[in-house]
Amino acid sequence: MNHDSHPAPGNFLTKYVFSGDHKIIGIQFLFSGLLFWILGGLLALGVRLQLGWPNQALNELLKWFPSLADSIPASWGSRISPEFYTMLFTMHATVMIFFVVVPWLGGAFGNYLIPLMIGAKDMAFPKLNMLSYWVLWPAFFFLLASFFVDGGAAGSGWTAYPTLSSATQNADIPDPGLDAAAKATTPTNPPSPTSMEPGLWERIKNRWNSPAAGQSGQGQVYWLLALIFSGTSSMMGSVNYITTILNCRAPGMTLMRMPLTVWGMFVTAILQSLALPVLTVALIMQFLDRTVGTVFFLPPAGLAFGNWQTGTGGGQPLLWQHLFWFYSHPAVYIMILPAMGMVSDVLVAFCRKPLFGYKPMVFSMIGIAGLGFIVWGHHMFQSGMDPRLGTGFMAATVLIAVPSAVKIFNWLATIWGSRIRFTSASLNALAFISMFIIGGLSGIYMASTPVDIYIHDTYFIVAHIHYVLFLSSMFGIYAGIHFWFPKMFGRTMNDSLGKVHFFLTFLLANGTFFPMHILGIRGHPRRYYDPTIFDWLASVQPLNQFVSICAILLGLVQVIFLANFLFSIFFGPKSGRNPWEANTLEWETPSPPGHGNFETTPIVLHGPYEYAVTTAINGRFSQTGLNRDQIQQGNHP
Amino acid sequence: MHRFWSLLFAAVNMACLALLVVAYAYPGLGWWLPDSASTQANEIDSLFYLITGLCAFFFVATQGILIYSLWRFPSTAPGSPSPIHGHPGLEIGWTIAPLVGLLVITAASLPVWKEARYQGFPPPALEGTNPLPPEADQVILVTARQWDWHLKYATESLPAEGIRQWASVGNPSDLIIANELHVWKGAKVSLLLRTTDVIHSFFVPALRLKQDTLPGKTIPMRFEATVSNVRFDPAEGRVVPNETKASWEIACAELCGGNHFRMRGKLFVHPDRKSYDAWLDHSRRQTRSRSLTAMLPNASSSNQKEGALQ
Ligand code: HEM
Ligand SMILES: [Cu+2]
Ligand SMILES: [Cu+2]
Repeated sequence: MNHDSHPAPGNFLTKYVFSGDHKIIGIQFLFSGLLFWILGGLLALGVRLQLGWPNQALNELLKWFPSLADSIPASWGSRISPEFYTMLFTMHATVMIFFVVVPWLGGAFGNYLIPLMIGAKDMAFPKLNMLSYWVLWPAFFFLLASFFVDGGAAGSGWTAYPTLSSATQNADIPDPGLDAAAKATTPTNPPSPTSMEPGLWERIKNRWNSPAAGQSGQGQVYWLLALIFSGTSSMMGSVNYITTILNCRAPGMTLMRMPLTVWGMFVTAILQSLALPVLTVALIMQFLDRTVGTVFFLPPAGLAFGNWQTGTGGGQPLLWQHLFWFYSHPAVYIMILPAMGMVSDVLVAFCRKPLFGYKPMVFSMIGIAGLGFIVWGHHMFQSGMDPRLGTGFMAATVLIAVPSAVKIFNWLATIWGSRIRFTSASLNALAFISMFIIGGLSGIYMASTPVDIYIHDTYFIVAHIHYVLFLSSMFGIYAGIHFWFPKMFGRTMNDSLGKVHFFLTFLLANGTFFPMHILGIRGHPRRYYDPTIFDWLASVQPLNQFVSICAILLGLVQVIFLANFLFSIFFGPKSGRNPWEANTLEWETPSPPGHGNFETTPIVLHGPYEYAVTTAINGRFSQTGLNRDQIQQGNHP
Repeated sequence: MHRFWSLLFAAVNMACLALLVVAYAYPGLGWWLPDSASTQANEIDSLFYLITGLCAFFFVATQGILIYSLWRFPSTAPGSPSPIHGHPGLEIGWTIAPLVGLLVITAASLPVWKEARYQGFPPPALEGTNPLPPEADQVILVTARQWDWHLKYATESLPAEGIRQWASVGNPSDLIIANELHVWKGAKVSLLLRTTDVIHSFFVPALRLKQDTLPGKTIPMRFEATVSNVRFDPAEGRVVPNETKASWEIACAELCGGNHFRMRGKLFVHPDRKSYDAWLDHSRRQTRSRSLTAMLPNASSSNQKEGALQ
């Protein structure tokens, strides 16, 4: 690809803010992800506060932080309201999925690592790359603004199922029947039209109001807009990654010499580019239903809320679920395949041994991605779709567990007979493998259609998603940050602090999420504000409390990571080009690499994992065969 | 120090396993599957244990290898790492082994699914007259709305081809009750699930039954209870717990708004048809004496949480 159109940046603004340099853009994604990670974590703690101490969560909180008393609406007494609670878990999941894990894996690591690891000077389309970051800002705006609108931020779950999310109340029609008792808690009732002639903006907002839930009005509209923009960003990233990987590889970097991180990003980008349009269409349809009164998700006979009828429809609420999961099942792999690649690279560098089964690892990624397109229905076994479809979706779902198992076996075989250096990075990578086993196994329970009848929408699902997303993807991200931090910032993070953080996070995350399996086996439904009103769930309340305590500690422990990260950017010990003595191309550049990355175009002679080579000077061949770090070790970049 | 990490991985994994074992071994804790009171529940539980057995094997094997490797192969261990790049035989082996396990699970699951969900049901695509399998002893229409369940019991026997008609219009003698599901042990119960507003999900843990209600659709479902927990006491004019003292609840499993968690109902399994009929007769006479309009679905307050009998 032509790189001349992309000169070295001149001033501060073009260098660090509106930069086309993939490294700066990657770091921008990293930092915005970090901020949303904090927000998402706090929202989760709100959820756990309520579940640990239903009806007295705020009392507990006020004991510790009396100064908060003023900011809590008096009408709640000492309680988090049920509507507020639905907002907490909805926005927690939305933030973590669409604003943390996806931007971190694809945006931050994808951007930073792809050109460096394939020996390119930059992305194929630097301007598009820059745009992919800045398109996120409208998404940030709508997401954050939605917390402050009438009715609050979205509250129909990250899955946003119609008609809870989509039903509208046409404000032009007077609304005699809204059940006063049921709706008293929702502050979004349109102001009575007689009291004052509302302005245009008021009238528009009133049109958005939902008879189903207070937060499904303006909050839901903003949620949809936020997701449309963040999807646009991912789409721009994906086409760029695909083009870059196909066209910008250094001489000798055949596809089968690419590090698994790049394979993970490549497969993910393809998944994204094929699946995202479907989600975007679904979001736009729901947006139109919410705003201009289309009826894509409104059934022919309409709906009745109390005595109040919507107009007639002609659509199908189930359509949303098909479109949504057609994207969001591949999306769960979008959130793990890059991490799988990164973990493989980290693992190999610290095992000092070639990756076991490079080709099976690549093919299993491709297999997961391919099968990932035909399993979406496993989220809908109980949805009311024709149950005979469940049979096919179950068969496809169990098949997808096979390549996942193959990956686990190959990682284990990589570790077997190696010589592992235990560092913060390698420990997090090892934890990924151990925890992904648990997450994969719980997936099999849900893949079994009859068992899923019972555990669907219980805490078993919540346990599953956190084993694959927190204990796997997040641990992969921790590993990746520790591993590539020296390349990004020219310094290393403190390894002892990293290990303390790993130790505590590993313990507490298991303490938080493993008991959720038990809750699920007991039948505890997810998204419940107060399970204690049920007799059959009283017995698990101690577990709920234990989970909440672990979760709060888990949140606190992340401060160690944050402090280590921020401190090391400025004060960490300087690292050379290749502090881990790894083989892939990024380690041949200075830390951090300059504009254009490589001093001379690298020529690739070897695969990425030539470790334990007895004939080589240092027991390894770097991909260019140079082992340049040996020559330059000690000389600072 | 290097052994420490191996021990940590061992400790965490063993603690996880131990929690499962404790929860299973001490039913008194109430940390395991709740009572199982239907044919379907027993089958689902057996599948659950089958999967647990296979998963336990896989879990112990893989985590064991991992923990042993961490113990045996730290960088401080003598010798050097082996330069092996792969092994086709192993790859084939560990592709086939999980595949076999998974096919066993699939083969065991699909008949249960078929029986629970579509065997004998008329194809849903045919919007014919009767959406239900023919053998029903009891037909109950469940209408969900924010935030309770309305259950309509037919008191006259229904012609099979009239069931759709009955679901939408009904007979004057029908009994409509909020949040109480009454059946008798051994009855082949057919449910028709509907919603007036948003998606809900009818979840009866003791029956291992869960089905979303979809706006615009009527979804058929069936079950057969195998254990009874109450009987109708004509003297007291209400249902009383029997010796099992079991209280079985109904919950909503699909987010349906702020009070989603409050859609609590109860399941009453009578010992036989006689007790059920006595209850039905009694309740119908009681409710008829109240205003009939008060029982129309739209009129009762959504705060009403318990049915006529509590
Ligand atoms: C062995 C592989 C896996 C299998 C067999 C599997 C199976 C399933 C099934 C059947 C469900 C639907 C359960 C239900 O709602 O009743 C589910 C949900 C889910 N899975 Fe997996 N899964 C696997 C791996 C993963 C991975 C790798 C991820 C992500 C990194 C993931 C993320 C999720 C999420 C986020 C949900 C829940 C979505 C929601 O309802 O909110 N799964 N999985
Ligand atoms: Cu899925
Ligand atoms: Cu609900």
